[in-house]
Amino acid sequence: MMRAGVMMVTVEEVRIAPTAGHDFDRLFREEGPGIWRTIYAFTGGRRDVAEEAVAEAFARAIAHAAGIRDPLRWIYRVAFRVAREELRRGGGRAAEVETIQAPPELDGLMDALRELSPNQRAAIVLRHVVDLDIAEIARRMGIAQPTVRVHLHRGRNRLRVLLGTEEVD
Amino acid sequence: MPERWERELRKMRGAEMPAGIRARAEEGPRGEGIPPARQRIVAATVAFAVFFGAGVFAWQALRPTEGGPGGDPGEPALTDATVTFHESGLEFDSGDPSLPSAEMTVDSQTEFGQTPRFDWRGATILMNTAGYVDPVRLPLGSRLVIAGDADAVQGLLADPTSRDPLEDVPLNGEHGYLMAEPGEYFLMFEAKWAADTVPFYFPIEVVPVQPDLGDSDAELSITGYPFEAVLSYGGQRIAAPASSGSWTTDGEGFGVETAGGGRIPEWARIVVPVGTPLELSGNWEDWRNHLHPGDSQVASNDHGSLVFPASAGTYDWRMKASWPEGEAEFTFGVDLVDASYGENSSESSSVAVSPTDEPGSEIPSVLRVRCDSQGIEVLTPIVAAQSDGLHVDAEITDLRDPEIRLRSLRANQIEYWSGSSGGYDEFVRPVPVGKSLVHCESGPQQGNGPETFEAPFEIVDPNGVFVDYSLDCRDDETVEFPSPFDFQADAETSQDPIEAVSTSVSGLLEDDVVERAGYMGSAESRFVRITRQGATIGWVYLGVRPSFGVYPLTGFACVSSGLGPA
Repeated sequence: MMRAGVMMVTVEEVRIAPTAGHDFDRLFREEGPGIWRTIYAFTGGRRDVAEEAVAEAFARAIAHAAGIRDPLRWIYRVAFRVAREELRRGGGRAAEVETIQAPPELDGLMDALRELSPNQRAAIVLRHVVDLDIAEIARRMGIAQPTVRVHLHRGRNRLRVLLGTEEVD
Repeated sequence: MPERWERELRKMRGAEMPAGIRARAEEGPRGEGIPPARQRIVAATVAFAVFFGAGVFAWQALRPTEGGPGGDPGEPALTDATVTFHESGLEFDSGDPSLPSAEMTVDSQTEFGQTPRFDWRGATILMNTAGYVDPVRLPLGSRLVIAGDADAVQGLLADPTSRDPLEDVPLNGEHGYLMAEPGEYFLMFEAKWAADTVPFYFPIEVVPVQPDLGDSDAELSITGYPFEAVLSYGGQRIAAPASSGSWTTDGEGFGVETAGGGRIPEWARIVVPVGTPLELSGNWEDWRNHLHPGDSQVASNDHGSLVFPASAGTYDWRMKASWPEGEAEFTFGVDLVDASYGENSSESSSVAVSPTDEPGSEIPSVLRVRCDSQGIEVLTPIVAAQSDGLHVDAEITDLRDPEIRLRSLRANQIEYWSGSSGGYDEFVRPVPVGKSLVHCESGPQQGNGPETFEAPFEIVDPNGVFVDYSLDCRDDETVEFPSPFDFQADAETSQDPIEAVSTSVSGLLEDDVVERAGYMGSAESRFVRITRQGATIGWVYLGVRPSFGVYPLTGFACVSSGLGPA
């Protein structure tokens, strides 16, 4: 970007100028699936909650575009918040009573993930499915890096126990 | 080779996003959330199926709809968690006998203890407590207060994801302190009544406390057997067990020797500014202390007040107290932090350097910044670089969508952003050594547009951790590399930074040296400099593409060097 005749580069993240319009269409195409998978896991397979949380986050981002500098991070955080609020409002224990329609190939994984806390699930997916580093996971989840490490450590250990330690090629 | 859990997780990469999300997003925000469907209301009900002897009772307790003790993850503050045990806590309207219960109350919110299975008056009680429960957030050092009608209560802490043995939570009669590494646990209480002993489980999350370094005094309370020593300062509280001691009661003596020792873990340390006064209380008769390493101690100053010494550093503070009946030694992990650079601050007592500072260092090695809707304050205007870059602690309050932005006045082509979300934030950025500016920015404030505040500071390099890449030519003799260095998505990538630059820059002479620069202690150091006959004639900053490597993102060179993009 250009500012006062000097090319500005941002380190750790390439930023769009705050006043620039955001390309939500591209964001939805490129980042939407990752956000969806993360929130889907965060909710423990609550497809309805995840669907609404992701859609609501994009809707709010579009509505408040002018005031958002980093829409991706913003959308992640809003999606987490909306999902968390909804789970607290009525679905914290819903996994036991509400039908969860996981794709057959994810049945075993989702069962195991549901044994983890929501934050452990989200951290695991952001790390091992979306391929983010610790710092970026912390930014998107809105928590500290050491906390991310704790969630990852415990989540992995739990998954090892639940899914077995069998190694594959 | 990947383990099975990794292979399973990879399947999620193929999980398709539902097609309806896009259309729903385009409808606009609903704001107030999802309308509660009937099944969700049902789901909010905690169902315990209770099988009592031959009879079957159903008991349901409606969870708070929102904001329970495990609710709002705001800034943690020390609190009391009162756990009340009732022998007849669960009453049933069918005329059948009642059951024992336990409730944890934190800040006026109550959570029931879970009792999956226990024996009671000759019967085995099974309760269905399946499902995830939000853990109660308890700051490290929280006081656990035991109440109710149980004859005795034992506390235990278990990591739900490990098979490690349970850790004892020392309860000194009616209370104890939660000392555990931040994380999620089951806090278990075994409550004993005449009829039976019943275990209750509470999922909890131990959260760290951010110290308020503006607090005036530290407090230490020590009491005799059963020994208890609690040190608190600035919202932090740590309890130390007696590492050794002896006690005589009714003519019989016994010794106390706690297993362990060794290094006190980081999470169990308390941060206190040097020279902080100490209030000492308790029922001791005499005491003495020693800060290790070194030979300093907490001692009286000219005014008769006890104060921590003036040498910043990481210490084990050993405190030995004695009573007519015996004595005991307690060891606290104390990080004494420097306050000498806070004199320019309006709140001098709140100025400190990070516990990550090298012991004995006179220059703070963490840039401390406070920012709110009124402006920005730099608490450490001169800061030493660390091997991996500039360490920043930022405290941002009262700003919407806040960010901290750092910019070197010498190499101002690059900005370094915090990614802050408000509150306390710690981060490291490779800001070059020299005079710099820190900006605090926010999103629009109630329709008034974004706020931006800035303040100067200077990074110094007393330990020589920074490899300089500033050009040995005047500003008006420099040129920035044009395309393809400017955000070129199709630039060549390489795993080797030197190779990436060597193949992307033209005009290199045979004896030119291409080498990494910046903070060499950072695994993500992305600067490469080009020197000719000892003079720096160009530098390149590399972008990173995960899984592919690095590529030139931007760079500058002296005009006379003849360097340019290949």
